Amino acid sequence: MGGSVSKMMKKIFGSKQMRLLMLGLDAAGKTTILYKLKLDSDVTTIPTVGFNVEKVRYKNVEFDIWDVGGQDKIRPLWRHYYSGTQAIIFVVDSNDRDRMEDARKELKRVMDEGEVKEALLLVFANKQDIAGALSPQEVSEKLELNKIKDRVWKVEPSCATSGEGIFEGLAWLSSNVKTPSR
Amino acid sequence: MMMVTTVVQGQSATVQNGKAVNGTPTSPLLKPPTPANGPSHYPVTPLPSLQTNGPSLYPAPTMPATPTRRRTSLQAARRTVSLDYVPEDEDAQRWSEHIKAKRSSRRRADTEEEDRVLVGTKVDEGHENYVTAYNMLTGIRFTVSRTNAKPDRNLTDDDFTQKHKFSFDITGNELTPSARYDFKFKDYAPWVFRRLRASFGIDPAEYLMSLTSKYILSELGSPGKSGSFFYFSRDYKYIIKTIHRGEHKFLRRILKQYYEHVRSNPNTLLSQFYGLHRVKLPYGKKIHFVVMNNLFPPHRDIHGTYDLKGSTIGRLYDESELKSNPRATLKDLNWLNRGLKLEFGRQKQEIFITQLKKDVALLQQLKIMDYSLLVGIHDVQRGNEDNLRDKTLQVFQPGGDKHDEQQQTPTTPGVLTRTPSKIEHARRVRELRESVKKERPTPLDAATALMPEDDAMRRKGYFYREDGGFRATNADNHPGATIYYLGIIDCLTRYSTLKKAEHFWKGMGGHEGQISAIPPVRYGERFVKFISGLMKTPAEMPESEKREEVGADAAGNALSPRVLTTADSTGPPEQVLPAITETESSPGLDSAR
Repeated sequence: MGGSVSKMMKKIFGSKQMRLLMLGLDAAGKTTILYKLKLDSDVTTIPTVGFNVEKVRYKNVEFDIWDVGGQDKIRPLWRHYYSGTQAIIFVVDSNDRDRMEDARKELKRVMDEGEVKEALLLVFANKQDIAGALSPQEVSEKLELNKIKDRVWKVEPSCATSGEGIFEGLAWLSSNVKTPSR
Repeated sequence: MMMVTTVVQGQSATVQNGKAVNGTPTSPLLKPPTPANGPSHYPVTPLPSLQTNGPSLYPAPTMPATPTRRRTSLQAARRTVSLDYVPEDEDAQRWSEHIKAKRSSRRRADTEEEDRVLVGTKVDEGHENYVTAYNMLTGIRFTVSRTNAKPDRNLTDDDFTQKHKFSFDITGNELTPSARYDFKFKDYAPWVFRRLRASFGIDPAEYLMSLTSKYILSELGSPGKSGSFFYFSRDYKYIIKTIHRGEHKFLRRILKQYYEHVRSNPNTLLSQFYGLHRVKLPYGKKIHFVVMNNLFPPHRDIHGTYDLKGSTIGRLYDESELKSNPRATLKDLNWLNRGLKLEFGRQKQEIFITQLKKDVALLQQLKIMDYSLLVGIHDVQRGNEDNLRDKTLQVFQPGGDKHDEQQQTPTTPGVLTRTPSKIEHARRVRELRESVKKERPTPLDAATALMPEDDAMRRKGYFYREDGGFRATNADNHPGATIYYLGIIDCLTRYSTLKKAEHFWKGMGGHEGQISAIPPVRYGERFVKFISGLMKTPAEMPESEKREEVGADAAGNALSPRVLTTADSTGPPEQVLPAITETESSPGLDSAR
């Protein structure tokens, strides 16, 4: 019942709903970002085997954020979460230069999936607080984002622990998502 | 600024705005597989002939990106390979190789090879139980992923009675991702089973991948006496067994005792339960099932299978049927007639019997009966040479079957039509080395050098440590020529009214001590006594070595006084003796050793 009331409210006040899928290599900071958004606190996380999903409301948009574990072994399971996703948030550890190439490949693989071809792409160049982190420009070069055509994308520098950049990212997503025709 | 709402569990499933993205919410499975012939895919598919032997322990990621005509849904076909061992700058070369390989006439057969299952009937699309299997696996993936993502915590009493209900549909909702079919799924005591899996040394990622990376299971023949269906995970490591509602309720009731037993007996021989779930299709009936361990290894031929209860009535498998069904499970009387022994030295005997007693004590306390000791016998000397699994089943376990590589690769015309490239060659060499290292059945003199443990066999527990099993030892504690795969199975039968009735009827004949349906305490006592009687005594040890080599006079041994003593303890000898005569003429006798 509560659900239907809130649905009514949504219709009246025109709030949007968005399904986000957060991917990236292991230890990039996905879960930390999720709980920063959800609880506004810096929680201790464990490597995610599986997924976390949370509902986050920000500026009149309700986000369903799926944070899916990024360990090598279980990346093949990402595809089970593609359907219905309006935006991919790809999180990169800007200090992990060694694995930037892995990240590029994984991102490309996701981008090639037909099911997410309409989805927006937001890249968090995360862990910017660590000295020597790659700049957002460098990250975007490493990931070869300029090769991405036919897709709206953005790189956002972020620091999951302080929350810096994260809400800016959500703001960008909410203003770029196509208003769903109900 | 930020407003936070909580995900409410019971919230309506329709909130998700499924149509927002693509206009049409498509399930991942409805899409035909994208052939890997566009530059958009990473051309890293390993050569088909090598795939089955690739070094990766996770078969699924190494699926070829080749389309299958038979199956339109297996998404793994669209996913390309994990890149860890592929040098990136060789992409172009690999790409051309891939195309060549694709053109080869072997392509389809190879893809089929990838999708084969180890044993039984493959349940893929088109199989009558495919939808059920799909829903089971989707539910397992979802619920395990959901629980295992959270930091570990201690259990509370509530955890044992927890149940979570989810509905899946094609668009997905805020709680569940989209699924191909509409169904409801219930997950029982997720935290308890998470802990149990951890206790049994199951890596969660591996568990997920083994069961759910591809929607293929195999179904084992007909449901047994219990009416349960068995499905094996594609890699043969896990069993999904459908259970009756009564068994389901019973397992939930005893879960706490079971859990505590497992925690304090990490080496338990009892069935290892990894999950308890229920699936329900719209307008369909509710199907309860458990996920549990498969006692038998994917990489070793089992030369004999026995289901031992310690009773004699109805405990003989007609050996004349062995010809048509060489992998049949034999029973108590077959074991006795063949004069088989569990060949453990003193130390292993003691550990085994001690654990057996502890496990049986729990079963007695829980009023459980009718369980069996399942014994699988692998003869190290014979190794995998008979290639049993290759005839009846297909093996793809990396390094698991050298025959594949040795025999198949050279005779594969599609591969021979072109010269292997440098990378290919290097790969092949490396793989060959690895598989040689791993595979060769150990000659007797080098019997201590077992196959190095791979991930598949990294199961915890004393009895599952040696190549996934428990190795025979002689009196001096040196490893023998047999690996046993042992466990107490079917431990969900409570001594209920039904069994009491069976007891009454069968007991009418006056052989009450020999039938399987007797009260739990006596059942357990008889069981322990019987199994203890199967142990080789130190005096028998040297003799046994001889027999090991001659091999054929097993029947003669069966007539030895020692065996009759054993039989005495379970039933009158006349129960056994006629059976022995029966066996002596049996053609299947030698093959079972």
